[in-house]
Amino acid sequence: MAGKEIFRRFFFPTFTPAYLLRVSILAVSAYLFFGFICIPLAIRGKSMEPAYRDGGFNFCWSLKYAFRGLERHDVVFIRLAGPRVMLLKRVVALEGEEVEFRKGRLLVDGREISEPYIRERGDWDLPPRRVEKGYVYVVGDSRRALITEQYFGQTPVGRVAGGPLW
Amino acid sequence: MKGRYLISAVVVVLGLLAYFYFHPSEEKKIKKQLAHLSEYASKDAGESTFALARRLDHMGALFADRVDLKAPGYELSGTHTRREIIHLAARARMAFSQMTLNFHDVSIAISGEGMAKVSTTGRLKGMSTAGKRVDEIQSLEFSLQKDSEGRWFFTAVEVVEVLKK
Repeated sequence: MAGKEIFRRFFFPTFTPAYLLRVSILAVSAYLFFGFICIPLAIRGKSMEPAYRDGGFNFCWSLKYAFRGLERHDVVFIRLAGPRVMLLKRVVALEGEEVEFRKGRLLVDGREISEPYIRERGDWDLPPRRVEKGYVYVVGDSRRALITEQYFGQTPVGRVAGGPLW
Repeated sequence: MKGRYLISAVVVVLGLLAYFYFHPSEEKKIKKQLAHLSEYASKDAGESTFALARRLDHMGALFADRVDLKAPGYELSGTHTRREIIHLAARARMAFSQMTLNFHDVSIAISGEGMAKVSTTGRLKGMSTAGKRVDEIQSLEFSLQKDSEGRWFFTAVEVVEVLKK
């Protein structure tokens, strides 16, 4: 009987002021939470494969770096255009570091960096360059394509919107 | 008596609507220029030479005599005349058999001296002549200037560089 009553009240509620207030609070909270804190995003493109597949789904957790700074190997969302178009990339070098690619191997300050998340290394060659102050250097995990066809490089830390929830 | 009030209210509403229609805000005028740019830059499949010429002609009329183009990674950066802009647009359109250019998240800042800055997301979708599907998104910034007749013209276009190799 009690279950039936709960079912009835859930699907056929009585529109009392208290009920409307609860619904309004829930709607505003959901808008704020999913609009600014935990933003749902569809993943398009293969630049982060195999970790993040084309056609996948995730959330941008914008509080991820509220209490800690960016670290190497962190996967981050970078605001590309407008509030909802973002790039999903991996941080490979931090400000002040010198980054380069030699025959597909990543070198930071002249030392080779292990990248266990990479399936196909490719043969990228990129002369050394220093990451500017307030910037991080980001690259996709998929290095199959030619270096000229890949979208990567340094970006202001301020453009990092957060990290994927999983 | 009641009917008279109702008619007065309808007249006032219609008057306000007519005023806003015939006196669009500056923001509305700028958005209209963006909509025109989107329309003229887009290309239908099997576009005729006549339609191409007409669209490019209309597109050229949206730009000022001299336009600063900033597109890192492309060899287009620099100051161009209106004619050069038309040539660049024609060349870019030739690479596609069909394409649409749309602007989203438009944010407009107007300064007092007839200048405006527009930040927007440009989305180019289409099919290249090589049969490759294209879907590009870029953050764009436009500068516009108003002439003495109140018309807005594009004076600068910048492709915002998010990642710098």
